[in-house]
Amino acid sequence: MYRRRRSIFDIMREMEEAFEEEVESMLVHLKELELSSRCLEPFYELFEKPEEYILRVDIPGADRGKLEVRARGRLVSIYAPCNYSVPYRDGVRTCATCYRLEVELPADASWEGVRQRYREGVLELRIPRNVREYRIKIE
Amino acid sequence: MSGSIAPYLFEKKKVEQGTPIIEGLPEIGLVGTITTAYISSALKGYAVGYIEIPDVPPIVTVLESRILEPCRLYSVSLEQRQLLLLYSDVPVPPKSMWSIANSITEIASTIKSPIISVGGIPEPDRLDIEKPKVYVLSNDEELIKMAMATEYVQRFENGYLTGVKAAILKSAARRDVKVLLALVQSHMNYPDPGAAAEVVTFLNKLLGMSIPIDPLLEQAEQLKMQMRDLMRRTSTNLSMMPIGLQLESPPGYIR
Repeated sequence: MYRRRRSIFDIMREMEEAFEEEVESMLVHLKELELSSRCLEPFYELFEKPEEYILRVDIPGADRGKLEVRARGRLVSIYAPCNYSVPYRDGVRTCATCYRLEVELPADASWEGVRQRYREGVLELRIPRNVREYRIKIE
Repeated sequence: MSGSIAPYLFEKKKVEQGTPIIEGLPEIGLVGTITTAYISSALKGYAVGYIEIPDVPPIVTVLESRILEPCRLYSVSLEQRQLLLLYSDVPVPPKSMWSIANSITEIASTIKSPIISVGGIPEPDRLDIEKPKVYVLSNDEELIKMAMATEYVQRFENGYLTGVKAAILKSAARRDVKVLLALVQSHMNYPDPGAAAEVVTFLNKLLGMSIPIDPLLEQAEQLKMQMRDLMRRTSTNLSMMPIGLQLESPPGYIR
């Protein structure tokens, strides 16, 4: 039986729609989790440099004095109490009491000599890399 | 005012010909959003119109029981001078960018206004920068001269632009609309009120305004928290764009 081939544009449109649905479902899930746990997942960036990893976490309004950063194996956990409260519906405010984040770093991250700073609501951790370097002689 | 912009400008109060339109749709660091929202609240702006974002499901914003379009045009007055501010509560999806840019240039062309498009350019080392630099680019020599005369900005010389701003520049060329881009070094994935403060300072100098930036800097952390959800959606949108291009330089072989 003859079957018409689908256009490449139809296939691309379907893929785009599937991706958008996936993203929306992820955003809904994240928001539901934040609302039910009253704990915010902060935005973060992880940069890889030759000698270190830079982890930047945006935690505006965090109580700096009660900031907790723990490392276990490759996992770094950040906990920061905050007072997040924004208008939502009449008489209702969305509230959160803390930021919580867990990030798994690559295997060569070394917790010895980690440097940190907190500026303009952004926590930055500079984590050295345990890199063994060998020089190969080219003849 | 011509009737041809009726779909966008619903407020009967007069919009003066030549009124500059400051475009601040959500993009990198939400710089444009913070800038337009701050100017509008500082100068007590009122909504005079909207732009429909096509290709998105129906969305309305409800603020203090008022039903609003998500992408709104505000009018502010300062010493007998009027400004229009374009602000949006939702990010513009990549597939709607051409249409939005065409709507903006259509309004500008009808009321014979220049567009001042403000936003951020990603700066990976933003955290180390105390005072982010503002770069300007224009399709009009007079506008660029005015911007450079403030002695607060540098010329954007080489690089790429993507997103709504690129679409506005292209659409403006077809309609002969003057555009000035003011782009500030900004965090890419977090709201950046500090960068927005630099843009407000530049606009103060360019347009002869004196909007204080201290309140903006004082509210910075609160603002960042309030804009979390918009930032998350904007970042998701930006991930579908070749935003990495803005960190690259063009080959520049053919000049």
